[in-house]
Amino acid sequence: MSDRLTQLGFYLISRGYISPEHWQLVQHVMIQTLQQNLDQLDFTSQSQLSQEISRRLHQTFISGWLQIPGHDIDERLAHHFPIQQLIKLEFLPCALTAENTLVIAVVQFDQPEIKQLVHRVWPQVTLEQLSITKNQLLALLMGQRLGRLPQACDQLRQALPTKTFQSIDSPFVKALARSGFIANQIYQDQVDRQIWQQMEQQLTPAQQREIQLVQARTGSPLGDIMTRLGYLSELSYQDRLNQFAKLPIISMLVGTDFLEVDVQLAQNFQPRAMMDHHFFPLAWVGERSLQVVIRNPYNSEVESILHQKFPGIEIIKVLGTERDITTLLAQYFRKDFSDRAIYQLLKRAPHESAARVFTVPQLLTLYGLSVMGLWLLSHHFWGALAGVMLVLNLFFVIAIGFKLILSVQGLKVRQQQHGRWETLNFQPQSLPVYTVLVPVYNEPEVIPILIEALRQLDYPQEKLDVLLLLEEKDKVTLEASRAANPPGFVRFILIPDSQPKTKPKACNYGLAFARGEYLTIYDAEDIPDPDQLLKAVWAFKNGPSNLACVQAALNYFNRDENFLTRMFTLEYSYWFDCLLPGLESFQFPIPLGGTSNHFRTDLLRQLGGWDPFNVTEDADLGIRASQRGYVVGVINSTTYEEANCQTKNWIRQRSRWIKGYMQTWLVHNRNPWKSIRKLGLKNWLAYQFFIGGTIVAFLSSPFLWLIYFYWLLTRETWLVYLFPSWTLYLSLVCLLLGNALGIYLNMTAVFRRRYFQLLPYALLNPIYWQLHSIASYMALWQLFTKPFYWEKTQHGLSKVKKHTG
Amino acid sequence: MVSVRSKSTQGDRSLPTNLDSQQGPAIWAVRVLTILGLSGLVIGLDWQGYIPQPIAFLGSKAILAVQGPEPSFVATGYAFPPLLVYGSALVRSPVILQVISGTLLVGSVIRTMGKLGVSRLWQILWTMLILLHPAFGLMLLRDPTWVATTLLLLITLRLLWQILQPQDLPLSFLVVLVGLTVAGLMLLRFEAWWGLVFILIALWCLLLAETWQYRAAALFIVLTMSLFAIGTCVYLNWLATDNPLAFLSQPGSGVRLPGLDSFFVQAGVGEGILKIISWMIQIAPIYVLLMVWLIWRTKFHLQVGLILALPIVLLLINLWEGLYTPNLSQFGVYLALLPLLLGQLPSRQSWRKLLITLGLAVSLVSSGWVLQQNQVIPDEILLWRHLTHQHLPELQPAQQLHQKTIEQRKITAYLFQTRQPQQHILMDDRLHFPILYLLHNTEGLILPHQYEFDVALDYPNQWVGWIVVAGARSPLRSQDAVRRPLAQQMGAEPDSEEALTVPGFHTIFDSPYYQVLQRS
Repeated sequence: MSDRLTQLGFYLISRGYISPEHWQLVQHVMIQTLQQNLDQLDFTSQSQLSQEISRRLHQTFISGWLQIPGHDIDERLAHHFPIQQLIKLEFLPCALTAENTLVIAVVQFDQPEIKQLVHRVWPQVTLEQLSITKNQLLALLMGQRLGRLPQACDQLRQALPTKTFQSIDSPFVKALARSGFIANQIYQDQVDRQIWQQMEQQLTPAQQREIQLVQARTGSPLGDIMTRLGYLSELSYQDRLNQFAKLPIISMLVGTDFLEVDVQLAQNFQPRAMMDHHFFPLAWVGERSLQVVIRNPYNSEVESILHQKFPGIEIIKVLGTERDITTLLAQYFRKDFSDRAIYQLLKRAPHESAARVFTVPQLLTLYGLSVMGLWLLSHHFWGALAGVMLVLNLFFVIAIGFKLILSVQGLKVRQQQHGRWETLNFQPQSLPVYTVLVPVYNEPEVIPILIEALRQLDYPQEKLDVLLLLEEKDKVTLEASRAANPPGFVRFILIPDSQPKTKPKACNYGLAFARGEYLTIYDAEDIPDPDQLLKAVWAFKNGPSNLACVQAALNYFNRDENFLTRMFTLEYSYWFDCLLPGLESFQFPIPLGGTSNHFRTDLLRQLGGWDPFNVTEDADLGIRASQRGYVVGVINSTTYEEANCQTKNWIRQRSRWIKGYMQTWLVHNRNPWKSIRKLGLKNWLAYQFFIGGTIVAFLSSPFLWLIYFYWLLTRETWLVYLFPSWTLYLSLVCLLLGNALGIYLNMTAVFRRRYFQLLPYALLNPIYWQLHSIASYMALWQLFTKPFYWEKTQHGLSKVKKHTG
Repeated sequence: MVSVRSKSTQGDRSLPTNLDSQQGPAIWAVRVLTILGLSGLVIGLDWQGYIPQPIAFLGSKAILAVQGPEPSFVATGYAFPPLLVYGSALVRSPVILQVISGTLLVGSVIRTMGKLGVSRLWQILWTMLILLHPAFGLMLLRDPTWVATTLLLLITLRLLWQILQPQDLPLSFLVVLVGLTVAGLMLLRFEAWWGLVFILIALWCLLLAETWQYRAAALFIVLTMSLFAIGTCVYLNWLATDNPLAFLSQPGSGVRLPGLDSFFVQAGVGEGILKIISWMIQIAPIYVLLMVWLIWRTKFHLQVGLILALPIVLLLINLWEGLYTPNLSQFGVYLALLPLLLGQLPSRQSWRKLLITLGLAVSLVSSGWVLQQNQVIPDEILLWRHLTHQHLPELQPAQQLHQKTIEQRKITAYLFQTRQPQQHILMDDRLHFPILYLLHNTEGLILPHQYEFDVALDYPNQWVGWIVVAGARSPLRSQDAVRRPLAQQMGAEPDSEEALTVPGFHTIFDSPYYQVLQRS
């Protein structure tokens, strides 16, 4: 009775008459009078039920027929019928016996249309009907089209080891698992055991230990673990799953013309849901049957989603890998995703997009200031210049004080944070899926290193969702990525070729495919601390509910390569180890750094993703998050990158950053009053000094140094007009205290990191700062001439082997 | 290698009880009252016309920096300590600066005493004995430099102590802060320049548990910021006078205030140690007692000894440099450090409490005795007598200073009343800075740093309405940049004890210390 009940349950659920939850309720409460009660509940009539059950329980299955020696499918027979008809009527002619009996496999018995059609070809034949599921039928038909019918038959024919897997071979257990009625885990355990038996010999003892360790730690399916670790390809895994599920594998058809996809059908589902649950609806097969690509045939949630949209339909499953589903999504939602990646923010919040460099009021203000400046210069020449000097120096003095407070506070809290994350209740099963976006462009040489770095992440690999964002025209990197044979958690996302060709656009495009609860970005050459994702999870779980993002520190592995890399390391250490923790401590807005910023994916989507027109989209996003009431934090973890070691390349990179700061400053100052209301005066001022201040400092610094050196050489007395009274004292404070503190604070950060050898180089900062000024003028020029142009930083120039030290 | 920091034990320290949280309002009330009292005293003394020399000096430089006449930097750039000169200019008055820094210092003392692991009664008693100590009081009322120095020394010593026994704050953070506070000291006390070597040695010994690379880096960090501070001072001197060490030799720099020449004491190391011990036993025996006690009972004799010896070493360097004057204010630093020392000693046993109380009482009484015996500079004698409503002693320096201050006020009042706005006053502010401070206005002054000063000296009839110079019997007469050339022009000896005569001018005020001439 219980077997029949199970079969019944499966049938009802698979047809969408009843949900697994309903079925549980029904069985639990009314098991004794099931049929009567189903009738009463008006799910189906009693007679219909009895008929269907008895028919299903006494039919001959094609798998059993094929196991009889001498039985095989004659592929010539199917050629007598158009394939559309075979699919529509759901049958397949299998064999014509000497007794003039045509063996046909049917999904539904005794269909008069099938009989008529067969008799048109063979008028005298007697029909012998075999039961076949839609999936099996589809598998055989596809096998036939691909010339792989014998292999498809073999798959159906393949007997399972009866001793070990008796339980899963039982149709009832399968039915239970398929329906999601029993926990997939039970079935999955059996699958795991068989995969383990098959794979055990091919794995080294170390690999076996690793797999067992991961499974003991995470409880994830063995197949998932092996694919994530790269010991089993996704396709092999699908093959093995197929041995139990007897479902066709679609992978070879994805991306070819053989696969017919109903584009309109896919529009009925959210791409996000399809990505998260790994399915993609292909087409209607008949009126009430839907063919769906699915990664895990035992995932009952997919059935729920499908039945929610189309109640009562039959679901015909075909197996596909995660990459197949990604490819299908990318293929059929390409334009949609691409448009969203570029225009989403512009459409939703045009005032927050940098697509427009200057607004009319900003231009008028600029014009007004210019006119006023010219008038002052013509009427009060020295007074005007002295005024400029006074304002500049006053600004510098405040900025110095501000940075001193931030740095001391940052240095204090940064170190106190250390170790607290270890209080994370580390239960890998409960860890969320983590998406890692890795935009790459023309960087084939870094792909193997990148993949190795990602492998080193201390995060359950089956919970990792790495998206390699490749420009579709960048064939070199794509080939290198394929050749690197990345583990299963890596997916390739091809970014459609369109303007603007920027990293934020690629990230936005990748965001559409992200499955993770959290998301981060790494550059191709990044080496994150292995525990960084865990620390980020800790930060999110322990942070306030409006914590949208946490930024990890960036530093350089080639810090000792030359003057530039040393100075860059000093600068980055100071920025990420002192200033950002200081900003966080005072809850000021934080401009995010280029990579290693970790987001709550839902909030990131709410924020509209990155601004593809802003060349420091990360800094802009940090400020936008603050404006919308979210908090941005920092975590005590480091990602090691390659410091730019060539001056020209460095200036280009820096010019992009400063141009981005200019864009960000302009965007968030379009309506200063509104910004003050949203951010609060304190945060607004902090933002002005941090973003605006950086620009002003770099642009004005060369002039001040020039004046100083000119005076030092000539001792011209007319310069006294530029520095009357207090201005002179302010200037001296800037010159002496400002530079001294700038150098000193730079030292403190590398001291904390114990990069002692860099300490003396901090004294050379005034020279290094001049490079910033050169870059800032380049940035200013480009802001007017090429505002969205992305100065690509060339990576892989370093001769230093990667290490984190 | 001995792990210095890892050896620290809880037993070395008394158990601090956070009484703040238990009796917060009471503590706050005491703090507010003390702050108000201090502010009232400092400002009240200023209003009553008692202006201590250091405040008058800082005030005059601040006025010059703020009001000019230009190029004011030439007159202020070589002034020492630059931190307080420009700090006073920033807050417009050294008195305000004194109130701010003094309030911080007193607040810190009260706060630390409130955390001692003894009953509130003992806390109050000891706090009162510290606050009422003449050295501490005189420092708060008359010497902004020592108040600021004490604040920075207190922070530095606290940080060094935490480096020895780290608690919440990380080591590198503490080292960075030490770098900042020590750099501040360089801009306050010249003796700290030499003391830097001692601080670096102490730091090296405190970090014995770390690698030598770490120690070297820590020293580099502290040294760098201090060298920046020293470099700043030297650069300012060079900018203002073309002499990087002008502050050591030029009059008006503040390192040696005019009129105190006879009080400066110089001694070698051995003699200096003896002198300091003698002073310490007379003024702050409690510091010596607690210092010895702490060194004796700690495991880190060397490190604790080095930390606690730092203020004494600075004093010794001061003596060696010949910049030491016998004044009680500079010993205020030891009183301010007492809460830090008491915090490190368990004082639960009664005899210990009694011993500490006795030590504090003896310190208070003996320093009062020193004051009463007039063994200090006249400025302090005047203030002490003024505060205690006593008659001035018949001591010549004290009487002279008193007379001078009366004359300064008279001259200022006279100039206020009779000077026309367009009339200029020729004066050497480097010597007569109290008059400049009392005037509180530099309009119409012609001072030595100005371009027109030499012209005014050559043609006083055309340029100035008033001339203020040192009096005929003033010890400063030969240093007066106005009197000296004018006397030479008249064919008189610069050191002559005759009154200055300038054609076209007549003397309207003449005293042993000042002479004021008005254009006829």
